[in-house]
Parts: sequence; structure tokens; C-alpha cells
Amino acid sequence: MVDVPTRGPWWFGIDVGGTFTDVVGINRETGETREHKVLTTKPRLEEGVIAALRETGVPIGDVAEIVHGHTSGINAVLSRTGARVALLATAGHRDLLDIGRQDREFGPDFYDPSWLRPHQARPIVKRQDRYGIVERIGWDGTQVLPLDENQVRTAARKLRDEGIESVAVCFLNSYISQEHEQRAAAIVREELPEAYVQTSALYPVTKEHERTATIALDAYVGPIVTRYLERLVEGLDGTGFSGSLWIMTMNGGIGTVAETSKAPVFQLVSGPVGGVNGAVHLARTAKSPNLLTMDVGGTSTDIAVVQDGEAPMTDLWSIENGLTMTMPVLDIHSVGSGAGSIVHIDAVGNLRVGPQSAGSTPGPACYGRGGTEPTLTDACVALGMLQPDLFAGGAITLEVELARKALGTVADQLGMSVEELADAAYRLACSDIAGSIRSISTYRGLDVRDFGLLAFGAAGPMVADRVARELGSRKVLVPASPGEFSAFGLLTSDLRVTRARSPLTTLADHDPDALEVAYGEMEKDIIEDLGRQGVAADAIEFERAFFAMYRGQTWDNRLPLQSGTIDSESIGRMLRQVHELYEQRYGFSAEEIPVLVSTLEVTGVSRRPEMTTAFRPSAAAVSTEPQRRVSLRLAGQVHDDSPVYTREQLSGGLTVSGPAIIVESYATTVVNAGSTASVTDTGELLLTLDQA
Amino acid sequence: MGVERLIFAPPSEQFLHVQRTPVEATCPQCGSGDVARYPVANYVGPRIVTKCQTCFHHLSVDVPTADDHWPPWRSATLDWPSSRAG
Amino acid sequence: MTIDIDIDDNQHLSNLDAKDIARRYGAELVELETLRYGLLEVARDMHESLVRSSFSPIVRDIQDCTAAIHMRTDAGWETVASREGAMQHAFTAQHMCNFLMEEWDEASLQPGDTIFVNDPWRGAIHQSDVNLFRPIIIDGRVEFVLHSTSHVLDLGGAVPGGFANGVQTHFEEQLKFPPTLLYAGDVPVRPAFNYILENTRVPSSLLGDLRALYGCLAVGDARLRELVDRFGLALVRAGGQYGTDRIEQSMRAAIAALPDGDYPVEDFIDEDGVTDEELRIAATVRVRGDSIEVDFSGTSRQPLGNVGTAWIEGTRCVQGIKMVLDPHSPVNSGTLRPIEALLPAGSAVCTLPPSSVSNHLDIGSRNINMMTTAMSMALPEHGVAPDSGNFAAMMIGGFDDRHGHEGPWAGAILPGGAWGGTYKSDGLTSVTPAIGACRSSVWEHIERESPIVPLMHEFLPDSAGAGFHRGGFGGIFTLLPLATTYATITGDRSKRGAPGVNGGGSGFPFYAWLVPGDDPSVVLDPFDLRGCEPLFGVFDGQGRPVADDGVFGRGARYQTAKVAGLELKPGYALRVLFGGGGGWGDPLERPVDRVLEDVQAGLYSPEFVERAYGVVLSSSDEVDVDATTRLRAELADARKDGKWTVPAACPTNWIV
Ligand SMILES: [Zn+2]
Repeated sequence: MVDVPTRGPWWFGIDVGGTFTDVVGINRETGETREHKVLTTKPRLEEGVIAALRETGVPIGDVAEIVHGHTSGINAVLSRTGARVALLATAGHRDLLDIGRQDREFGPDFYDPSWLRPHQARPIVKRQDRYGIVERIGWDGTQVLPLDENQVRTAARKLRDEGIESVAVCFLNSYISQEHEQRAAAIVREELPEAYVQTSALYPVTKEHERTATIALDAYVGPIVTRYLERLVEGLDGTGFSGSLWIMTMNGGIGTVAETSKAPVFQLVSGPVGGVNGAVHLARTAKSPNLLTMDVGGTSTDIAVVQDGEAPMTDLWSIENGLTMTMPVLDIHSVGSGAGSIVHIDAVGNLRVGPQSAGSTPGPACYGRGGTEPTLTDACVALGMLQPDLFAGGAITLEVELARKALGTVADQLGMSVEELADAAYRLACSDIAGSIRSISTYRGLDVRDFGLLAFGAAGPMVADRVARELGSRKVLVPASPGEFSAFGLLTSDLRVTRARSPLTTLADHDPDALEVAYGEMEKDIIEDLGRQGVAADAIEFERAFFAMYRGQTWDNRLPLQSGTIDSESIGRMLRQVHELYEQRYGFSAEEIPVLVSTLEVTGVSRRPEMTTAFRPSAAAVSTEPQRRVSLRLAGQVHDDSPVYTREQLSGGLTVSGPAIIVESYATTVVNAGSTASVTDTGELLLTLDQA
Repeated sequence: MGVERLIFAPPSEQFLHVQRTPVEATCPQCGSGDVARYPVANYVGPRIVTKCQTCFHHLSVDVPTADDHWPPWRSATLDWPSSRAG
Repeated sequence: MTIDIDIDDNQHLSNLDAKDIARRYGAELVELETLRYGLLEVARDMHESLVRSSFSPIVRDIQDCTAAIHMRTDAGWETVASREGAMQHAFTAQHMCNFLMEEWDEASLQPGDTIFVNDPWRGAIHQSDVNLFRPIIIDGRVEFVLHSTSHVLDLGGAVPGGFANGVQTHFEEQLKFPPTLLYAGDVPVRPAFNYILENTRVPSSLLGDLRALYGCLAVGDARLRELVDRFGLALVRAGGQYGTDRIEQSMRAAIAALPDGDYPVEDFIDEDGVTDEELRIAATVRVRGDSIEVDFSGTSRQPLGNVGTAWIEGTRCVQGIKMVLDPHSPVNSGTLRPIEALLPAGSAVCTLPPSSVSNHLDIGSRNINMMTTAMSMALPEHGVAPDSGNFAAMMIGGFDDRHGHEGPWAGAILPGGAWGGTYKSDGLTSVTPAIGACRSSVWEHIERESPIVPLMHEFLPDSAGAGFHRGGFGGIFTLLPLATTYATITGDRSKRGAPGVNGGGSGFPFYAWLVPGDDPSVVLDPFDLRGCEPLFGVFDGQGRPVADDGVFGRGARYQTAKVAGLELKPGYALRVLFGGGGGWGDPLERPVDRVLEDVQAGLYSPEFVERAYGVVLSSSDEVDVDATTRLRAELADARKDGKWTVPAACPTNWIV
């Protein structure tokens, strides 16, 4: 439990996305919730945050905690509007960022001779700002060439003259010894006291290219993110806010502004992390430990797997080809299919949905804002799924004829009717999303029949039933307020700090006591770190993991370490874990080859107080009559007189059999024939599918 | 069939050409009389094609026989009975 | 049951709508698409399993490895999905599977059988690229064959590491395996393993890679069976057929848009590493309607050295055609269907056993460059200049004497190359020639497991062919051995760099030196040649590299860039400089601000941009506009009079 005085009953989650800034508040005493959505204010994101907070009507003095996710970092990277960064690299290796891994990305541009690696076309660090520093640490951490300190100082003075504000320092083999890097960084700080300086201390692991990319990206977004957070703190101070501000990071945890500002690259993409954290929380409270999560927005869909109530991590995460970061982050994938994805025929003559999107301007044709290309939303309108007058809480009235007209342009080319095309596009979009989910579930050895599909984002519930059928999953859950679920998720996030070291030694040779000591030292470090953030030592839970592989390999595998003190039996257990993993994931194991432990990792978690959701089953009698009946086309079948219900009716205890539509203020849930819908006692809308 | 198609002497000509043998036929596709038969590597492997030289319509695509010498080399054991190990 | 789909030459899918597709394949479009992607996902998963569980740097880091799924069809075995790490594998896999399945007695196959092949006369690229095949038996018949392939570090023979430069027969190259049972029903065949492991210099790495190659097939087997269990064999087959037909349609549509005609192209290989005879690779690309014939008639007879290939050029050529005509779709059997090749037996593209064929890199790169050039002739608005034509490929090894690391070691380094300028953009820097697209090594891993220090891996200034769109830049790679190391270097375009097109200039050629390693400032300056021994390249009388008027091999240890058994002693570094891609279009027309950007980035020197681009700088940040206008006009006039041509890329500031 976080040791902070309670200043009021309200906790707020604020998610600044590319288009909208979502604010969600929970009153911890009454369970009351407030939500508000404003357009994101670029470039001064804090203005939208403060405006949205104010709009909720909660007096700022009643707000105890704010958990914040934002995208200022990733926006700077994607639009290349970050700081002018200088890179100090080992002499002879200053082109690492342009070389990337020297490959071409497997995919649509693989064979295209005109493709350029993103960092060559649009550098983060220009070549003239990359300095090769004479120095060399050897493979074993010993010094091969001394650091040329004069060269560093001369370079630093040149940077000062050129007005460079951010410096990345990454030398070869600094995962073993950071002596040269730290000395070089110290010289830079002497010469440029105002500059932002980052080194491998950020996360000192092997793979020089990925590590350099991580540090360069940090230096690129560091000044922008830290300045944004400073302005946000200032702005909140101005409103009279005296509670705690927590920042969401990509490892799934939150931290104070001071701690997270030490490595801002960890908050490059923090909004979607809120959604996955919300899913983890829901998995535990709703007793549905295995969930495939699907956050369907306007332009893309974020997907993740929650297994046994845990979200999986990855240690390699790519923004674009050649910009791959190495650090433990939540494994969230993005697919270019969303409600605004454009239905079109590609160069090969295939029907496609996305990845191009109509965005918010002009938006789908049915919005009547000038869009002429058909989108998935238009298809859903033509299929009868979206009720023109019950969309987005009535904020927009959908124009059916515009949707049909846009769809008609594509349907004609394929010799299909508008309905047939809409049906095909809808199923194709569902199939694309299902394919991506399958690639992180089925094709990762998971049996989707053990998983429920958690659908959120405004458009998630619209496609969930069909996606689940494609996947072979039999259960769909739609949380309360699916459109703001990611912001809610921020509120469920824990404080989380990870420490790692890379011994690269043989597991069988390990002294269990020494292993215990190594983990213990890292845990002590975490206690200090979390202590600075107001957490008592006894409130921290530790999760230990180890990365292992066979000797001669370099792709290691993260395995959880059984809790408890490490003893002589632990080593044998760890070895068995490794061999079993190889057999299962790679089709072989090799018990005679020594197992190497590449990295020891431990995460300290300080659990946040449980949130009580506002959901209470309605005691009042609700009508069991549908709001209306509509003609609905699902999977090639036309269902005339399909009922439309409100979610409140189901919360009142009604169970509905498909085909049916369930509407709520910012979302529409499609229930297929053969599915039944009801609301669980924890408040989720549950769809049970008869068959896969 | 024995081991006679395992080892070859290198050719003596400086540059080599594939010979196309003219065939008396009319292309059913375009009516051209320019039809030839020759060895190729098509998408699945070595084949002998009879092909219109005007429009590339195939009059026939044949799997080479031993007499076609295409490709020139040939396994010594091709017509032996197979064991469990091949 | 099988779905027989009969598509003759003249009826293509382009005329079909969704209903026709449903009728033709007996399945709905959405199901067909799901299965097409489902098969690609299985291949992707096999590839990832292979990469993440392999042992040698050439698989796990460089990713010169591929996974493919072949399906039984009326025509034979057709690749329905592949995830290629090296591009060429996607084009050569299908023939290998057909050679194997025509030869092997299907009746003797059992589930879990895995067959090993690396015979170039049965479709393998060279013996170093090994292939494992796992037939998938469904209802008593082989319906699919799963295929994994990768380069391995050593398979015995006279020259470690596979590129047997200087030898004249395959007997002196890596061991050659006709189809050989490696696992009988998932049980390793001990004699086969013993034979392999007792004839390699690095048994540990090889065993590890063989297990990973086998393991990924087992993973693929399980995934493919899940797909078949869920959708049924007929539907999965329909999805595979639909996917290949779609790609065929895409290729044919692009070919049909070309003007019918014969497009003759040729390129050269400097020499074969045995004689100094130049090799001519010739092809006439004939376009008729929606098909193409590539006739290699006119190509030189097979060389004595290892630079020819046995069989693969007939399908490898398809890659160059695809790159221009249909670059964005995945490769499967449909990519190959519209194209046939004529390979003159006994020529460099169809060498007869027992010729040596281990260096397939150079001829493969030429083949693809020739095809993109032919396509550029047919489609001038889509021109593409040739690539650097070599990988600066190095196989290295020896005995590691570092404490705790004692033992034999071997490694592969592909420092890269560059692609040519295109109609649309400058060429890509730091990428292997088009047959590969392999990744770089992770130097921190290499240093840990091998007694070498990769001192330098950077761009080489003044190495990119000049053009309106210049080529990508070549590079510098410098390696310092900590123990005696034996190196094989395999490269070409060492007499002259990659040619330009449409008025573009050529790239810098390929060079190597031995460099005294005691003074880091000397080692780290690639232009400092003091005390360096030239190994190969084109030089002037002072030992300076000159791309246009030098003499190949002057003062150098070798008269070839195909070197084996080069001994590297601690204290001396090996430095290679490899050229960039050719330029596209007239460099005198390149916008001056783009020229200035490259100068500011340190990629071109002021001297070179004046000579090649006619751009005069008044300072490091400023173009003298008037002088530039004058010089560009002068050079253009001189070119008209035949007194000026675009100079080949070449650094000028050598220290000798
Ligand atoms: Zn004809």
C-alpha cells in the first residue's frame, strides 16, 4: 500500500491519446464515477488535461491521485520533432543507427528496391551529430583502448557551440563495464551543464544496436517529455491540486514524475498500457484469468494476451524498422484495423480493410463530414448494426445513404451488392484482427478455447462476437464504459520497478546462495527506489525471473522463478523449466548442453488499493421489451426483426439471445445468432457463444 | 542406369547456347507456325516444352525422360528399390 | 478429397468476382483469405522458432535462413507459403522439394521422417545451405512438405566455412548430401548424425543448428495440423491454391503491361579465383503477353573456380523481375509460374558435376542486377541501378586460446553492401545484395564467443555511385584478431564498381588490406594506408585506390577478391572497403541542397561532389551557386563532346 495521506475521495485516470483526452474518475468512498472526453490539445497537452479534469465537475481539492498516460514521446518520434541529439559512440561504430540490423523488414516492402530504412530517410540523430570516440572496452570488461578524454571534451564544446541540448552516450560492451560511458557523460555534463544526458545506465543489456537505439530515443524524447511533465505539474499546481501525480510507463507500472523522468523513453507509449492493466485487473476481479484483449479504436486495434491474470512482457519492441528498443515492456501489438479503416481493393485485386484510415477528419462516409471512401463503420451501418440515432450518445446522427453510396463504389467493382460487400468487409476486418490475435495466442501455443475475448475501445464490442467465432473462443466480455476502459485501467496500475543484471554464466555452476544474494541486492535497490516514491518496504511484492538459453545461443527466454529462497533444489527446477520450454516452443531440447543464465531480473510491485467499481445490479424493474426491431445482416444471413436493447436492460437481469443489438452511450455490442448476452454480477456484459 | 551421368568434362566452347528444335506445328493460340521444342527450368523443375515462339503458348510441357538428358546429370540409384532409409 | 482447379494460360482470376471465386475454390473468399494467411503464419512461426533456437550467428543473428510450406498439386509440389530470411530462398525452395519428392519413395515415408539435402545438382544453392524436409502425411498420403533451410558454418571439406575459393571441384568443397534420412519417425538416424558431426570443424554449433532446423519443422507440423483439424484438408488446400493463383495473377498482370520484346542484358564476374579470365553472364529476357522467358544463351562456359552455379539461376532470376514488376506481394509458387528459363548445360549458370559452385554470391547478384536492368529497359520509368554486387563476405575461424573459451571456433561476417539508386529514391546503404537481405552480426556476441575485435563498421565516404538519385554508400569493416585466425574473403566487382544507369555513375570497387594494429588512430582511419599491405583492388603507382584508371592487383598480394586460407596474426587487422550502389540519372541534375546534405553528413567530400556533381562549395555549409551553375554547364558540354563522363565513386584523400 502506498503510504500517502488521503486528501480526498477522488482518483482520476487521464489518458491523452492521439485524438482524444479521456478523463475518468472514481470516488473511492461512494463508488461514483465521472467521465469526460475532450479533443487532445496539441502541442500543449496539459491544457486539455486540465480542461477535461475541470469539466468533470469534481472540485480539485477532492482529488487525491491522478494516474496519467500520454503519447507526447511517441508523437515526437513519429513526427520527428524531438530534440536535436548528439550521439557519442565508440570510434568506428558511429553509423550503428543507420545500419540498423542491416536487414530489410519482412513484409510488403521487402522486395521494393526503393525502400529506405527509416533512420536513413529520417534520422533521429543526424550523421554530423554522431561522434566516434576513441575508446574500447573488451568482451570481458577490461580496457582495450583508454578513453580519449580530450576528444570527448572537444566534442562537448562543439556541441555547446552548436546549441545541442541532448546527448546520448553509448559505447560497445558497456553492458559489462560502464566506466568509459560514465566518464564521458561526466565530461559532457561539465561542459554542458544544462544538457539532457543519457547513457546505458538506462538499461545495460547486450545487443549494441538495440541499446544504442534505446538511449538515442530517450535522448530524443527526454527533453520534450520532461518539459511536458514539468508544465503539467505546474498547471496542476495552478489549479490547487495537492494530491499525487503518477505516470504510467511501458513496463506496466506507474511511478512519480521524478522517478519516471530518469528514463522518459519508458513512457513512449503509455496509454494502451492502461487498457492492458485494466484487463489484468478485470481478469482478477471478474475471475476470468485468461483474456485476449482487443482495444478497437478509430485507426488501429491494440491486442494483448492476459494469461493467468498476468500480462506478458517483451524485451524487444520496435517503433519502426531499425528503431528497436531493448527493455522489458508490456507486449502490446497494434493492427491497422479500426472503425475508420477504409474498405478498398488493393493492387492485386483483393478486397482489403485498412491499414489506411479515414481518421476523425473526414471520418467515415456516414458521419456526413465529406468522407467518400467506405469504412468499417459504414459497413456496420449498412448491415444494420449501428443505429443511426443511437450512435455516440446521440452526438452524431449517422447517414445511412452516404454509407451505402460509399460502399457501392467498391461493391460495383466486385460485382457484389452493397450488403454483400459490407458483410465481406466486416468479416475481413474481423478476420484480420482475429489473425493478429491468433499470431500472439494460437501461434504461441495457447489454446484460445481457454480464453475469453475482452473487447473495449468504442468499436470493440461491435466486432467482438465475430472475432471470437473466428478465433474459436466461446466467451466475450465487454467492460462497463468500453470507450474509456484504458483510462480506467490507469487507475488499477501498480507501482513497479524492475532491476536486472546480466551474468551470462552456466546455470548448473551457480551457487544457490550467490544467486539469492544477487536477487537480494537488486531487491534492496528497488526498496530504496520505491522508498523515494513513498512506499514502505513491507508493502513491496517481488517477482523474480531469469532469462536462459543453451550455451552457444543468443536468444534467451524469460522464465518466472518460483517464489521463496533459492536453494540447491531450485537450480534443478530451473533447469527442468528451461528444457521443457525448449521442447514446447522450439520442438527440441538438448539436455547435455549447459544452460546459460543470461539475465537475472526482479520486479518490485507496490499494489495500489483495490478500486470498487460503481456497478450495482439494478433493483428497479426494467422493461424486457426491445427498444425497437431492425433488419440485421450477420454472416450472410438476414435477420429481420432483430431486437435492439439497452445495456441497462441487461444490467437489470435480462438475458438476450442473438441475433440482437445492445446499445450503450458510446458503444454498440453485436450479438450473433447462437450467442446469449447477459450482465455478470461484476458488471461486465458477457456473451456466451454456442460454438466456435 | 549406372554412374555414367555423375561426372562430366567441362565444355570446350567459350560461350554456350540452348538449342531450340523447330517443330512442324501451328500454334492453336495465335496461328503462328514458329513452334520449337527445348529444355527449360519452369516453376516446378526441369521440363521439355513445345512452345509457340510468337506468343509463348505451350503446345506441351513434358517431364524429361532419361533420353532427354535434361538435366544432364542423373542419380545412379534412381530406379533401385527403396529401403526404409530411402 | 482434393479440389482440382484448372486454370489455363488465358483465364485468370482478374476476371473473377467473389461469387466466381467461391464457385472455383469451393469456399468463401473470407475463408480463403483466412487460410492463405494461416499458412503464412505457420511459416512465420517456423522461422521464428528456428531463429530463436539456433546456435550459429549465421542463423540466429544474420538470419540467413528460411521456412517454407510446399503443397501437393497437379503440377507437383508448390510453395504455398514462405518466410524467407534470405530473399533467394523463396525462389529456390520449390525446385528442391520437387527434386526430392520425385526421387524419394513416398510409400516408405512415415510421420516424423526428416530428410537432409544440400546437393546443388538437386536444387540447393551451395553445399553450405542445408535443407531439411518433413513430409506431412494426412489420411495416408503426403499432402504437404515442410522445409527449413539455413547456411551452416562448416560441413568439412578443404576450405573451412564453405566458400571454397580457389578449388576446382565440389569434392574439395563442403560435404555434399543427396537426400539423406536424418530423422526416422522423429528419431535421429545415428549414422547420418555421426557422419555429419565427425566431418565438421564445429560440431557443437552444427548439431545445435540441425536440431533447431528439425525443431522448427516439428513446430510447423503441429501448427499445420491445427489448421487442418479446424478447417479440413480440402479447405486448407483451397486456401493454398487460391493464394498461389492470386500471386500468379498479380505477376501476370504486371508482365502483360510490359511491351512485348526481347531485352538483352549482360554483366561480368571479374575472374573465378583460379584463372584471370573474365566471365560473361548473358541473358535475353523475352516478354510475350503475360509470360517471360529468360534465356541465358551466350553465357560463358563453366569456370574452373567456384563462381558458377549448378541449377538455381533459372528461378533466382525471377527475384529481379519481381522486384521491379510486383515488389509488394509475398512470394509463392504463383510468383514463379509465368517465367521459364533456358540454362545452357555446361555454362556458368548450369555447371556440370564435379564443378565447384560454393561462391554463388557473385553470380546470383549479377543475375538479379541483370533482370532489374532488363525490366528497366522494358519499363524505363521504373529504372533501378545495380547493387554493390558483393557482401564483403568473410568466413573466419581458428582456435580460441582465451581462458575458458579454449576450442575451435568459426564465424561468418557479412559487413554488407548497398543498393543502387532507383527512379524514386537514393539507394539503400548497408544492406546485402538482393539475393540476401540478411542481418548484421551482433558485435557484442561475436566478441564474446570469438577471439576477434570488430574495430570498425561504418559507411565509406565517396563510395556511392553519383546520380540524380545516388547509390547507397559502401562501407568499412576492420577486424583485429586476438588469436591466429584464418579468413576466407568472397567478393567481386573488385575491378570496377556497380554500374550506374540512365547517366548515373558507378560505385567504388571492393578492396582489402592488412593493417598494422598497434596504433588505433591509424587503424581507425580507413584512408591511412601507411604500413598497410594491399590484398586486392585497383591501384595507381603509389598504392592509392583509383576506381577509373588503375591497374587491378598492382602491388597487391592477390589478383582476385576470392581468397581462402588468409592467415591473420594478432597485431595486424584486416580492413575491407566495399563499394556502394550505382547511381540513377544525371548527377549534374541532382538538387544542390541534396548534394550539400551529403557533404555535411560527411558522406561525400567537397572534392568528389565537384568532380562528379559539378557542385562547388564556398565553405563546408555553403554552395557557390554561380560557380556551380558554370561548372555544371561546362561538364554537360564536355559530356556532349565525349570529353567527360561521370567519374566512378572514389575517395581522394588517401595517406600513403
Ligand atoms: Zn502462339
